[in-house]
Amino acid sequence: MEKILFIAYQFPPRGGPGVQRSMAFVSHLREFGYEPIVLTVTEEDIRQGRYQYDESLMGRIPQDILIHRIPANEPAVWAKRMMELKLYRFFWYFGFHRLWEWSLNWNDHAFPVAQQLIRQHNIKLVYTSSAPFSVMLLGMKLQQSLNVKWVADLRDPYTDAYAWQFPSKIHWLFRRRFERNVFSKPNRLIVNAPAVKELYLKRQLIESSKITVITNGY
Amino acid sequence: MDTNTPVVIGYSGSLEWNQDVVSTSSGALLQWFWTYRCLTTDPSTRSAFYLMKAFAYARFQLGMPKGAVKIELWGKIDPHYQSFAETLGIADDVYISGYLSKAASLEKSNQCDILFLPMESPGKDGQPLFIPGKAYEYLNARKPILAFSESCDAMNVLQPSGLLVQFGARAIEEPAQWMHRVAKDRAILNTIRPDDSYIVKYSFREITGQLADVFNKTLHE
Repeated sequence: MEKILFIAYQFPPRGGPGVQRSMAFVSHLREFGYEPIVLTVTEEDIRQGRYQYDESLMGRIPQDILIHRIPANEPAVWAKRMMELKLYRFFWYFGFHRLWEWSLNWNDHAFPVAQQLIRQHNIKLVYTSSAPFSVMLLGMKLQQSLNVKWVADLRDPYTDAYAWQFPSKIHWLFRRRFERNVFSKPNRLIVNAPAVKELYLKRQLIESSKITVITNGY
Repeated sequence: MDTNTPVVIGYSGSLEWNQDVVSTSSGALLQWFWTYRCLTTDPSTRSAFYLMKAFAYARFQLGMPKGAVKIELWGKIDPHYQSFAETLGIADDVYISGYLSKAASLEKSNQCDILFLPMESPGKDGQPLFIPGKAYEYLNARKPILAFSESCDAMNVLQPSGLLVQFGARAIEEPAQWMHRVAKDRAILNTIRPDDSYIVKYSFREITGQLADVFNKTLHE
């Protein structure tokens, strides 16, 4: 069985729509000859965070799947305090390069663990599930430093979608540059709708041979 | 069949109601320096808005009896939808409630006669980039799916299933007529039959097979 590193920041027991795809993939991959080793955040992060906690979802994942949990270190407490003081917007505007996703801090802590898992299990392929998009930086770093193959799965489009807000259009343009720099780097980019593939090809973010559509399911 | 039982159109999930700040010229300038979102989330670009308008049209223009059809929305539903139903005079037939657990929500969905799939019609191109996750859940439920949308990926996924009842993204009169017909004869719904051989292609087991193919190709290139 080929082992892969399965990086999913959003993973059960977190509930909600963002975890369904990763949960389903982890549950079925063995049937296709792949053994996923999951890297995600701690249960404590989910309990204390702003997220739905759904313990029942863990029952849908094979019990013997290896799941490594690293603290998320999201700046939630600090951000809450800043919001109360009506200062968060100031930091969000001028410190957006650190606050565009709260998950950004997780990469620093997850990288050495991911590196160790790759060596220990002789892993040749890393899979990342986004959002959050900052996880792609972790995938790219592993690809470049350990010469592993990287498959990036985008559950949502980023700067083209209405779901995300930016401090200003200038910040949005900087994130567009992030897409241009990062989206072409995975060995394969997966999107979940043909319209997104068409859009990314039109924007020339990636070569057509490297982008694949895999829809969601039930 | 009990003809007094209302036909229930249901949806669980979230429905936002955001007025755009960028629709005015000052707003367009503001977006360069203040909060920016690249596409509109104005309610008039969301299909739940038209579901309610069509429902009101059926009630007041076509004479659909009160209580013959009801709309059930639960989850994270913006309170503006309640106010909107009141403004349209259909609040007695629109039931809005909060979150239910996944299991309870699925059970409630199963009791609905028609499942409403909210769609967006944003941007100049009008092509939604999202296929709502609900689309797949609805395929598995094998019940009629009501959607207001132009041709897009989500409609392309649903159309071959045999379950889709599709109207234009901003249609009012046509869906109103359909609701009115269903209210008079709910047996119409029995003619909407699922194509199981198509629907099974969207089980996550099948989808995971596609991911494994991508892994195979990536590892062996």
